[in-house]
Amino acid sequence: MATSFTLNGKSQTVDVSPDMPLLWVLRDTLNMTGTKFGCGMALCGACTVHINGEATRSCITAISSVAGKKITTIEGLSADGSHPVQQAWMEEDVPQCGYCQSGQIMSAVALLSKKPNPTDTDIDDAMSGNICRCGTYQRIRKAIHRAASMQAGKAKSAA
Amino acid sequence: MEPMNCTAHFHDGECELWVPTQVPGAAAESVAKALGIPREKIKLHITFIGGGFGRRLIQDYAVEAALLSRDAGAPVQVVWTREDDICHDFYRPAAHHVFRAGLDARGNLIAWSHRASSPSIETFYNGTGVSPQAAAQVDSLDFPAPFIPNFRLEFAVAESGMPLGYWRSVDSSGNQFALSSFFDEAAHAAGRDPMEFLLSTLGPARKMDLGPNRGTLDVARRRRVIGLAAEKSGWGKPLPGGAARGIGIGFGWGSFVAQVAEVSCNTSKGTICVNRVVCAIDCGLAINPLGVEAQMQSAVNFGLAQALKSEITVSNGRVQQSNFHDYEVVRLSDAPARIDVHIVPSTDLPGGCGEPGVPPIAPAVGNAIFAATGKRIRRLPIRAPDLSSA
Repeated sequence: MATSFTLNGKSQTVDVSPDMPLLWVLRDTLNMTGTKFGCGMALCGACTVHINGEATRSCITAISSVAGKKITTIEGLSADGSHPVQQAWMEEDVPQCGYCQSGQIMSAVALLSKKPNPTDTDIDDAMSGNICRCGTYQRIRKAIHRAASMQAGKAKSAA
Repeated sequence: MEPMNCTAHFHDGECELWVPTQVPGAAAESVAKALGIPREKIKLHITFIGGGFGRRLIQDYAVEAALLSRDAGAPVQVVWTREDDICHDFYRPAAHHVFRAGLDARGNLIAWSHRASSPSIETFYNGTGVSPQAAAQVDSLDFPAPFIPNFRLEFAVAESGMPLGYWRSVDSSGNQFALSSFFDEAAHAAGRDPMEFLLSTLGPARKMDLGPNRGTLDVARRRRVIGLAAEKSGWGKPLPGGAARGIGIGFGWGSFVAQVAEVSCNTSKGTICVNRVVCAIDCGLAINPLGVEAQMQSAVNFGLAQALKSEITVSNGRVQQSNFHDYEVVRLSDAPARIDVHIVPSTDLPGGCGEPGVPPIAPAVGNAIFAATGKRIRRLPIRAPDLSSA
């Protein structure tokens, strides 16, 4: 069955089984492997993408449910890693093995779009669905605060 | 987090593999043996590893992909589900420890007896013909054996039937919890501050000759990390709100680590909050200090999962956990607000940093819980009833 949606700003149509999880459509049908499989049950956040701006676990999202919606994956944040959250991640040297980090970054971007200056409690609430087995949590917190001030700085200079 | 996976293409008596492995040579050997082809007919592409932690020392998933490719006559990608992983893993050996300590009239430690039993990783892989030293999951060379005039260590292999594997810091993760917890218990029995008791047992900074083929032991390096953790954590100064500190140590892989955990407990709710961890490490020359800091923070969070959350139980021959809802690990909201890492400036040979940060944290937390509540933690993971029962 054909399903159409917007993927990283471009219209996209796939012809797959309607119950196929978005995660596997991205990875296996569209060869976009930035989004990772971790648990298949929305327990770990490795597969996080944005659907109409909301951080969503793509491993339990049937492709039929995203028809007509806007999807952003890690590949869609920036062409060159220049998104402020990606920059902050690099400056704080967050990733270790890296496997969970695209999901972490997608959750962080969604948080900052709603709360441009999050508290530690906001970060705990927004990020606790994303497991990092390497335990990069302390640097994730720092990077989110850094991204928040980078974005605030940008907004200020634009004003 | 990356599930066990491998892509294999067997064709014309050769096999090409794309595999995240910690041991490429061993993976190639295993696959060659399974396929009955020469080692040089294996072409291996090593991919990034989404976390190894010892699990990817074992090559079962590469063999699986290779055999499937041969039988399918096509390239095959094998990706385990999380359920495959948690239900069919190679597990840490469960262990039981019994300790006794002797104190003299001034409260000095003069005798130490440690009896331990667990399944043996070494005999699981290499059979029961290995030496007793290799089979034992404990050894006596570092601490506290050389510092106590009367020391006895006993070990018996206990068969459990569980597949066994290597987990970050291997034997030390469990052993150091038992040892550092009991050491703390001995300090309290002696009526002494655990930090002072530790330094006093180590004695003055010196180099000790451990005997033929056993090398020397540099007491100064051990004292320095303990002292640094004490200083930076404000050891001895009261903490607000009923929080308390505990210390854990770990020496190995050429490095020396001491950690002080600041813990708050709610005994009626059975909750434990690790507010802050101060970690001191002497890893010799720190080539990339930011990397050392990352590894220590990582190890603390990794070890905290072992201390507070992750548990495998078996019923009727089957592992009862299957995914992250019932095999829990540390999440961001559980992670200490601060893990302060202090690196001893050194020009000594570089030591390891991946593993030695893991063993100290569980006893540091357990000892802090004792300081906060008077409840001695004697098993891992720590469960809510452990805080309320006497």
